[in-house]
Amino acid sequence: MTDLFDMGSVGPFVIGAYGVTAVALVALAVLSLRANKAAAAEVERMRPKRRRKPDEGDS
Amino acid sequence: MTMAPQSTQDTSLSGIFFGIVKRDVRLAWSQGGTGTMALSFFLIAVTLFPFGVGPEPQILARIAPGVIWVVALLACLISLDRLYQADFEDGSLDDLALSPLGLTGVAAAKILAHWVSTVLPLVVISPVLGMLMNLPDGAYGTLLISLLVGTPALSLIGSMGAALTVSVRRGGVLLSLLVLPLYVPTLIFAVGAVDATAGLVDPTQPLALLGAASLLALVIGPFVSAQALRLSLE
Amino acid sequence: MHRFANPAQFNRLADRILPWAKLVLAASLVYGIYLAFLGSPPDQYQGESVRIMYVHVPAAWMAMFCYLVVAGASFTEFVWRHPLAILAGKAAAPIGATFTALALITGALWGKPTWGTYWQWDGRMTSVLVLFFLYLGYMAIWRSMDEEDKAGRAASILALVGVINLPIIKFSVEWWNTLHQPASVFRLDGPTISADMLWPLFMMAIAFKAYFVLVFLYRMKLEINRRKLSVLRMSRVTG
Repeated sequence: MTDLFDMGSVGPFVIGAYGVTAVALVALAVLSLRANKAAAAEVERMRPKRRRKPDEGDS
Repeated sequence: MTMAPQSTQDTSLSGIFFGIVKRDVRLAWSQGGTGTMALSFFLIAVTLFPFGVGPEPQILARIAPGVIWVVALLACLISLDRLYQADFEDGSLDDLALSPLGLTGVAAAKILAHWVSTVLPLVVISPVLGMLMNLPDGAYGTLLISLLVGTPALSLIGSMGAALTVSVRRGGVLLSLLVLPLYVPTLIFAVGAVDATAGLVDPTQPLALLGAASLLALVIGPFVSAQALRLSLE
Repeated sequence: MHRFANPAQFNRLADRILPWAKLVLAASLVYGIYLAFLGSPPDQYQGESVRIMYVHVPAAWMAMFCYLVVAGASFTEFVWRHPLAILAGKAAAPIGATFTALALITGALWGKPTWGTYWQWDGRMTSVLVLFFLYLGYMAIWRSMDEEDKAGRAASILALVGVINLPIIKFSVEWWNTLHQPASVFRLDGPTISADMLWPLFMMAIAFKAYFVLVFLYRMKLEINRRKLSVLRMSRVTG
């Protein structure tokens, strides 16, 4: 067991590597989710009013 | 070049094939063609390097093979984006697609024409640039051989990129993005061969690998180019 | 409506997989981070910097795995013209590009304390860099054309050419590297990876795979919705 906060001179590199990874992966996930939500809402809005059925009915 | 009159056109497959080659070579060297442009670029860009890194003969000799190869590669690249585009825009590519050669044969003819008209002059002039870059005496032969063996791969791989971007407006930058990573092995083997000779080592292995890269490009290049062209013609 | 039939089926399948992916991601990520920081010893030679490996190596694996997904989707698209395959490649590429960039960045951050330099033209790093360029090209060609179908087919062709080239690039870079590099290169693939290190590596790899499944499915839904939108817009224009 080592102490998380005692990594000596390499600490910044380790934290940096994990930090960059976390930021990039979270950003990609959030961007994908939000884009999908926006697109789904737009599809709902554009869909012709006369048959407002969920997708299941189509197939 | 024999100036055959257009009326006695050869309609055999090889006749059509070399008809396309001849036409493209002539176009490349006519007013505003890519032939002179690529050659001038090659000359000017190589002479920039001594200004950039300094005129010390040892440094120039060390980097000469790499510089000549990289600039030849770029010269080839800048001449590629018009490879199919002119024919695509004026509609003659549609006619060519219907020829009995098939698009693969047409692509092969155009690639051959590109190599003969644009790349071969670079190979011919490269010893002069070798002199300017203080290339070691023993390396001239290998430089020429590596260019002769390796540059067909540049035309073949570049043709795939040119075909993929044929319908893209200002596709030149996209073309370089697609093609440059694929040029890496060719560059490595070619410069490896010249470096080996300069360091008095037998260059056979890198030259063989270079030849293999060219052969593989020959197998897939015309076929993939035809597939990509068909997309834009649909 | 047959155009929608397949995607509807896909959406149902995705909705069934998504909760599991979230569960696996959460569990393996928590356990993996615990193992990476607390549950594993510092390396005998590298000390604490070895902890970077647990994020770097899985990212590099994912970089290659995603390219395989893109290539597989491209092949399916190219041969069978499957309408979902073309979208699968488009959905997977940004994830792959992200993991590739992360592999490069974490590799640089690992290199500084162990090799004393951020970048070394070492065989692996160089070929991963070229892989990153291939991703960039694939995504650029998608954006270059207005017609989605054509863009997708062009991108598929490029991805397949890239697959043929990847082993050659890999080989040539390794070859070039042995030519230029002094013999004393630090190599990871020594036989001395202890079980203490394999477990966090394994856990983080699972976490990244689960992350891929999650984001990939959302991006697939996104692409399907985009496709629906363009169909709806078309039908609105044509009346």
